[in-house]
Amino acid sequence: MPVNFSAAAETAPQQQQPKAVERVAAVIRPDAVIPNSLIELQKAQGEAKDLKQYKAEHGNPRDGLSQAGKTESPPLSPTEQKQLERVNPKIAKEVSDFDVVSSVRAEMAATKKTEAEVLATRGVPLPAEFKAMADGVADRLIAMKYVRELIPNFDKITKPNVRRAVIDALFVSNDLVREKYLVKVRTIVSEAAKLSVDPEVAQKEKATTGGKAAEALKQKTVDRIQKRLGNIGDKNDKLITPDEVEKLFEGDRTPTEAADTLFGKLLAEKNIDPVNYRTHRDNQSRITELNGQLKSAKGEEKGKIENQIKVLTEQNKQINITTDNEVQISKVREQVYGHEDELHQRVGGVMADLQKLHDQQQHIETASSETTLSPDQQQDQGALQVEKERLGRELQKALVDSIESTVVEQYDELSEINGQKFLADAEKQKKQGQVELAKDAEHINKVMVEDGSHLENGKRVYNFKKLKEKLTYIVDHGKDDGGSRSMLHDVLTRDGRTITVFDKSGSEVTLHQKADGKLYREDDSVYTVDVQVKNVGSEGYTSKTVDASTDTISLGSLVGESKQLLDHINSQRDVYLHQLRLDYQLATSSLHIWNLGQAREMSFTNDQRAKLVQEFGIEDVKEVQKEAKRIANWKQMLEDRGVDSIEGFSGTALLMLLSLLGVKKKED
Amino acid sequence: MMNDNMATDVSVKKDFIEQLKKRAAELLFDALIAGLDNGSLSFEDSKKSARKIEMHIDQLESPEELLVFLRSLDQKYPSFRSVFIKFKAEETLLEDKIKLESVQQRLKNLTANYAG
Repeated sequence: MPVNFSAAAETAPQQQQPKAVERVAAVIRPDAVIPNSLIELQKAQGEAKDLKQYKAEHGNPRDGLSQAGKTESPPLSPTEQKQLERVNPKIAKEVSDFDVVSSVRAEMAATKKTEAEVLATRGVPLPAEFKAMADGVADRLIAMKYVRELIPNFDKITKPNVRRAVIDALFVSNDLVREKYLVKVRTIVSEAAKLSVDPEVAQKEKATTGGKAAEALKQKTVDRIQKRLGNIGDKNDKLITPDEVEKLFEGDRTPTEAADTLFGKLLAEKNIDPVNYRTHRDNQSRITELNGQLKSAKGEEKGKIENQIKVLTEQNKQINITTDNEVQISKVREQVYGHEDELHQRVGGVMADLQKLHDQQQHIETASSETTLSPDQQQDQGALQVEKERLGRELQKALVDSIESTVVEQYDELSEINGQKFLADAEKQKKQGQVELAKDAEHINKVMVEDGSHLENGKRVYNFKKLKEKLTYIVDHGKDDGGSRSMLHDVLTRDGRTITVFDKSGSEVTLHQKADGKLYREDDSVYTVDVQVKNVGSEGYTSKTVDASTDTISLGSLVGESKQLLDHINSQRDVYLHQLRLDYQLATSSLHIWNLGQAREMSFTNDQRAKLVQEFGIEDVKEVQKEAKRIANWKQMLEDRGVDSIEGFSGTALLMLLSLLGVKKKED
Repeated sequence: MMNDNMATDVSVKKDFIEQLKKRAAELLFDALIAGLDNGSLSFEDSKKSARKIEMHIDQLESPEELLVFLRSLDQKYPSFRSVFIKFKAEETLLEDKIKLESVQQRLKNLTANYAG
């Protein structure tokens, strides 16, 4: 039976799998553009293959999920690094350091190697350099207020190596932070690639290029001079060096003066004293001149001239320029000054080259001094500088943003878990026929979102007022009584929700809560209760009648279904408190970034804060017991750094934070 | 004696939920691999969903919580739908079995009363 390919194509999810035609085209046509969807599919299938292999080798699905969740962020390439350097070399170095340190940490986690082993395989950086680099990365993070505030009691840690170790364990070694950070950095890299070239740098480069070109030409000229003079055959078979050519122009000599200097130098190399030669030559010219004058001279004048000729001839004899010397001098003169052709033009010789050399040198000097920018160039430079500063700020912000979004993501995940616990409770109550309790659980979940934090158009919104009210209440009443009463208050905000209590006479009274927080009877009169108030200035208590509320009512007076409600509240209280704590930690750690103006609304006194830690600390212990296995590797990391204890630090809070940040256990 | 019974109950309940979590993890891991293989789950989503599953499974304390989580996971990543359906079907079967047993018991009681 023939296979119906069209039908198969129609049933395939179009967005998830590339069309068959595209896949075939990619195979049979080398120039075919492979669709992104196909690349994605190949990537996914490659991952599936790796996970299947992992499953076959390890078997444990929990470890498999842990493996599947791991992120790998390739280090920055040299090209990417160069683009960042264009933005700001100092910040680029900071980014690079974080990249190196966190990639070493990632490799340690993936390969289970120690820091020393990983560094040994890399070769660069050396262990001492790496330590300085890692310390620098941690110190920069410690300098960030937001980062310090994320860790409860961090400022109480005084030893620098402990502070650094904690920061390293929490953020630098966190693969999620690294992944988010490098994604942000790479976005900035692509923006940096679009930056125009700095006009000043361009000008300098142009000058350098011009200078380089002139230098190259100059070199060619020097080579030519060497070749021309090389044929002269000096005694050591040594060519004139570029430095020697350079020296010909010393003292701002003109090309003609340089040629004269060269001529003298070459003569000296042939053991002909240039001064003597010049004297010989001048004498010879003078003798020729005097011989001319002698023809018409008479008497005493004639005698004088003859005497002069005699003296000069004697002098020249002593100088002793031989015929051989004359031949050599003639050759040198031609090599340096060339010879006259039929048209009386000087040809050959290095004179022309020396003139070129002189011009080229002047061009080099002019080019290197041309760095003044035009007004337009200055304007472009200003705009470029502004853009670079913006990208620099983005780069600096990227790290703290990555940490923040990792923390928030994890808080959101934990909040979602709490929400699911309330909803699961609602499902359970429904199954057991407890319709009201099911509605209560759903309602509590809704209230927790409204009174804590939620997203509105992508922006996180906090109900600081409600959050502070509830937290203060728990500080004042303790987590058990305070937690139950606060939760009861929230349940009674549900439309139509009532509770029943025994009044003083033992009769059942049904109450509902109004917006003012007071409890009212069915006839809308305020219900009152007697409370014991501590006497001011004397011992003992005095009974006082006050308006009833979830704060003042005796929980022991709840009756029937309401007693069941209280039991249910007590069984769900831990989830309620956990969510409150999450909202508190998230809100306080986010205040200076998102809601600076509202910071006061969440401010607590030191005593209140201490009580909050105390109340929630008990919960932390449970949390830690649950999470301890998952976060064993941070302890290892502290040990590797020689840190055996963390003074003045709430270890449980740190452990919880580590778990929040997704720090995974060391896989054995 | 009463405390001993309660402790045993808690222990049995804990074992039960641990078994449930183990099975869920296994099925979810298989579904994740299958999703990657057939293209219904992208590489990036596989990373995110794996981290989510790992974190949630650690915190599960009851079968109801597991079902709520699987439903929410299915809404975000349909590749895991089969796991939700499987557990939901098992829950329905279990409920039906309990209802049936309850009805049978009542019938038995009625018959016994009638006979008596």
